[in-house]
Amino acid sequence: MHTVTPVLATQAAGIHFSNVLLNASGAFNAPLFNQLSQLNRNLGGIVTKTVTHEAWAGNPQARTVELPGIGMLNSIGLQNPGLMATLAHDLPILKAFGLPVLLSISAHSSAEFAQMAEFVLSHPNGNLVEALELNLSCPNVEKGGVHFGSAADSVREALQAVTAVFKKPVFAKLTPNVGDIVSIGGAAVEGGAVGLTAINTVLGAAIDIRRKKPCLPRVSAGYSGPGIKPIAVHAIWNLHKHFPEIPIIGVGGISTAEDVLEFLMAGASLVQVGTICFREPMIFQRITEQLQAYCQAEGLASIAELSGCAHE
Amino acid sequence: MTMISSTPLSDHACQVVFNRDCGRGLKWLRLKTLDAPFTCLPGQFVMLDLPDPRFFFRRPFSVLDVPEPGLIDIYYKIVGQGTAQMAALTPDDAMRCLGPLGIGFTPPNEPEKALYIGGGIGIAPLYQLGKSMSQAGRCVYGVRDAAEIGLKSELQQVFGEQLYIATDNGLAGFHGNVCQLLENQPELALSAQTAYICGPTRMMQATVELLNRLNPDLKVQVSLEEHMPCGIGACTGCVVPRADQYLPSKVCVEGPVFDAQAIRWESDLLPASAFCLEAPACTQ
Repeated sequence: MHTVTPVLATQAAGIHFSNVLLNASGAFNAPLFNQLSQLNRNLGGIVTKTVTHEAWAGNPQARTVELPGIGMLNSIGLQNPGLMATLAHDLPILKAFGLPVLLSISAHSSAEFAQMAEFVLSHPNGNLVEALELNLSCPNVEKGGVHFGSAADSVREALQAVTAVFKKPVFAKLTPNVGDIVSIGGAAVEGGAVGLTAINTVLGAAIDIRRKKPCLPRVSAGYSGPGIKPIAVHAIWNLHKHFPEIPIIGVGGISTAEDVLEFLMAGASLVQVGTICFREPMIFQRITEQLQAYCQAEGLASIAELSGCAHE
Repeated sequence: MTMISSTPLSDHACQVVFNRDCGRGLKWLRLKTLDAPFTCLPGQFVMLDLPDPRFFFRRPFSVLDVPEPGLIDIYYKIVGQGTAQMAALTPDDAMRCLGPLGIGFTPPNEPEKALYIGGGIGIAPLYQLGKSMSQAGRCVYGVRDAAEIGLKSELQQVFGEQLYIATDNGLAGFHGNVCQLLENQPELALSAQTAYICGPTRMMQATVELLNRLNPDLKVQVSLEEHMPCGIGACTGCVVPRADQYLPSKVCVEGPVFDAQAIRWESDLLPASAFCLEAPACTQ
């Protein structure tokens, strides 16, 4: 059995993470953490599946498409049991691992985001939440249904509404499906985000050539996996360049230790690993061991030294 | 609420023992675990990691049999690029197998009053269940064509004279599908206490409706097949709408076996076909 040495530990947004590796939202669920005992030694923090205020049934089948060599499409539609059930049932399970828990939340309006933040504070298990990560992928009903994450004013207002009540760190998860991710990231920071998570899935679609129809009933889906890695690295590079003091959680197509190093060097302080977990639920142990070996070979006292080093 | 397993997950390193043809487009794969011995309950499944790393998802398969601890038998049909690659596996090839996964069948109280109804490769988990019983019960096995009656002699060994074969084109056994066979021989449903169904979703739906009509007291369990990216409850990709609750169930961890009554069969959330699980190969 290996132990994780402090070399992979880092500090971001005032939170101590024992490892730069986190899971991406939606790549694990709470019961699964009980079945993967090696996870807590190879993760620095846990990100929950995105929850909404009320339970959501999600989208019709089929919900996923395999894209050989490059990743997958998903159209899950944020199926989740709701905020109350998640706080009551999942948070105690997750917190038992002794890792910081980032609660991923999504809403249809700034007011609803604020209500959710207030609900977390008022719930007996709310203190188990170390930080919030705002999933800004829903339509904003206050702005005629334009997706939250694609409009700077929506993002700013959502962050303002949440940070007005929630005083622990709030991360904004940015969508790459925008013209200028830096202006959106800037709006999140103005609204009070202490950190940025980049990137959410890329919009994509696929056609089933056998049926001559779209593979997924809703056509549009979120593209994730190794194919989006350069898009994520580009976003992180630009965000770090413009906001060098703001911690970035890099996410998008990471499958290997080399990918993690690339994200850190581009400017990320932490990374999240998602899609590859579906094939390799034990991937965190391998990446952790490889990162430790790299740090040792490079003589690094802390992997945090690498963050943004490619800009120098 | 269904109980979900908290057993630690095992990703077994395996070696191919054989990968033999057993019908048109049908294969019987035997894997041997090289690490810990493998056992499972009838109806549980495994996620097989394809040798080509381009395939981003593992493939879910019901276990056909565990002839001895550490051996895993899989009965599969070549339907797309992934299974076409599996078909090329030869003895000693390496493969990884995550499992056992999911909730299997609840065994019958009176095995001689069990009715097993399999459509195509859906026969696989029913074989393991029937084989594990002290008395075999009766088995209805429907396929499209005589060339697709895989595992006939193995099934005969378990079910003997109580194996009822139906072919859509009538080239072997009863001429018709499993529902037509059950309508034709209603005593099969009438004499049964528990029924187990596995096959294409629409076949299972039609069979559940028919059994409810023929024998409303019959307890029916179904084993669902779904698009399954992870197989371990993480992705929420494989869900089935419920008759008794708002949230759909994850097939991989709350199933794949469900009480037929728990499923909202009329929902358009159910997939039309259980067999379009992967991208087609242009050569097929």
